[in-house]
Amino acid sequence: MTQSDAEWQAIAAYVDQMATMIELPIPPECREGVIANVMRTKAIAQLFLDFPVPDEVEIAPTFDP
Amino acid sequence: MQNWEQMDAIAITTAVQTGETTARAVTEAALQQIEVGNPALNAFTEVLAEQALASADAVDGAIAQGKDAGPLAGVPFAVKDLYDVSGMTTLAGSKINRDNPPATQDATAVARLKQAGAILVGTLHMDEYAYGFVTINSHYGATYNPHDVSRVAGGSSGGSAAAVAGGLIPLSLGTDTNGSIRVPASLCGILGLKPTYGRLSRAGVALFSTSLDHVGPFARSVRDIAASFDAMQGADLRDPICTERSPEPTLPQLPQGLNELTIAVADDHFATGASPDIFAALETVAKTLNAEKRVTIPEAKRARAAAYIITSCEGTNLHFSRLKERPMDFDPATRDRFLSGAFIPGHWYTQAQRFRRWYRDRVRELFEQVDLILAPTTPCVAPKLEQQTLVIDGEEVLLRPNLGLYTQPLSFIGLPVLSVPVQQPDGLPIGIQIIAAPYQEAKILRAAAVLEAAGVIAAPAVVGH
Repeated sequence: MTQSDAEWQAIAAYVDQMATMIELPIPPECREGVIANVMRTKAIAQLFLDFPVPDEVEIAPTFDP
Repeated sequence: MQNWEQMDAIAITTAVQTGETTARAVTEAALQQIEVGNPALNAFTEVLAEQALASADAVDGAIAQGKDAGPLAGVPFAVKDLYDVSGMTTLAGSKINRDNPPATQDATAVARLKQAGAILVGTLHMDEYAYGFVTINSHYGATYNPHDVSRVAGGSSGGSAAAVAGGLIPLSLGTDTNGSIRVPASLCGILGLKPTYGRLSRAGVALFSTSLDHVGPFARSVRDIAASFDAMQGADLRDPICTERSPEPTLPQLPQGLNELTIAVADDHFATGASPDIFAALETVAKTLNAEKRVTIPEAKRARAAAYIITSCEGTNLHFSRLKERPMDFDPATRDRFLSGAFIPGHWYTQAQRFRRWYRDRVRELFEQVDLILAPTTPCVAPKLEQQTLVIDGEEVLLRPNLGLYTQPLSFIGLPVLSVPVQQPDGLPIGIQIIAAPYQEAKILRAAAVLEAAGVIAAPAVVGH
């Protein structure tokens, strides 16, 4: 099993279990596409998740640009 | 009227208000132009002929009585099909919303343009629930680019851009969450303004990602953008994030030119990835505006990623009940993406929002040194309808998400941005973004007016597709 196969299986299991948790049935014909999108989303999120944001930086409750 | 489709909104309202023509004649000409031109573009979803002619008669009646008919009296306009129009069901490009009841009142932006004398002639095509950059919709078909109907108009406000670029109407409204005004404006060769977040009311507009949603106008001249933006300004209790600032008219400020404006070109993220003709057009704009400085908008790539996470979470949250009950009624182009947003951990969303705050503070510091920043709008000219990929920095990537490469990091923190069109003698138009600090739309429009006067930007209607 390659690393990407293993990641696919892990994310597929996560999607299946979380779908139960949040009571969102995923139509069988959409499952593969959803897993692929979640994998893509994970890669995108890594771009900012590893960026250190100081503790005092909080969300703007009503965003004021 | 001769060649009315090439006239901008200000020229039309001037002709109406001086008695050279009537609002009815202009509206009839617009309806005729839509009938002839729309089949090739598929820009309109509904044409409101009866309602429009009644409004035009009311404007003509007011003028005949010597009353002020408003700054946009007699100007035909249309809106993306996610703005509420009283008496119509707001579809937002979906099949599911057909079951909704009709709207009971106009969206605030629609009401304000009508109050200014403009004539609503119809609603315009879009990607389903505004989730896309191409306006290829499985329920209602694609909108085609007036410059070349084998190419996309851009999205998600594709109908709004194509209708103006194709000379069907001089003015339209769209929405922009990650680039959905600026991308189609760029690909269709017209002007599209995404104002400061919260500066124009979104009340009565079907939302997508509330942290990032904006409304704004498309037009073919700078003064039309300014006049329509001015007409829509003002506080609105119906939109919780709408600013309470007093309206600040921008139209009277256009003649101020570049006086004391410091303008720079964005480097780093914004200086790679586009085709050479895009950067050549950017340099022409920069030279005309004496923009010699280069500035770095820090961490723009991370900003784009965080914008994606926020959009995905909030979009899915908004449509959760529909995803649960009617998933197969979604457009296949949006369905899997909407479903996948339900699986994003709360930590990721929260971190994206905290990063947004950090990034906003850094960019605010940048605007202490400069007034305006220039950047490309899209990395390429309008792609073919069937095109799926794009080469960026030597790497083949998916086309659709990457049309937002340069727009997403800016709407993420609500900066006002205008996409202006540089026409190519033998090619498709190119969009350039003019970016300012929050609430500085007037500075953007002043610079755009200089470019327009110099002939560097232009948006002639493309008729007879």
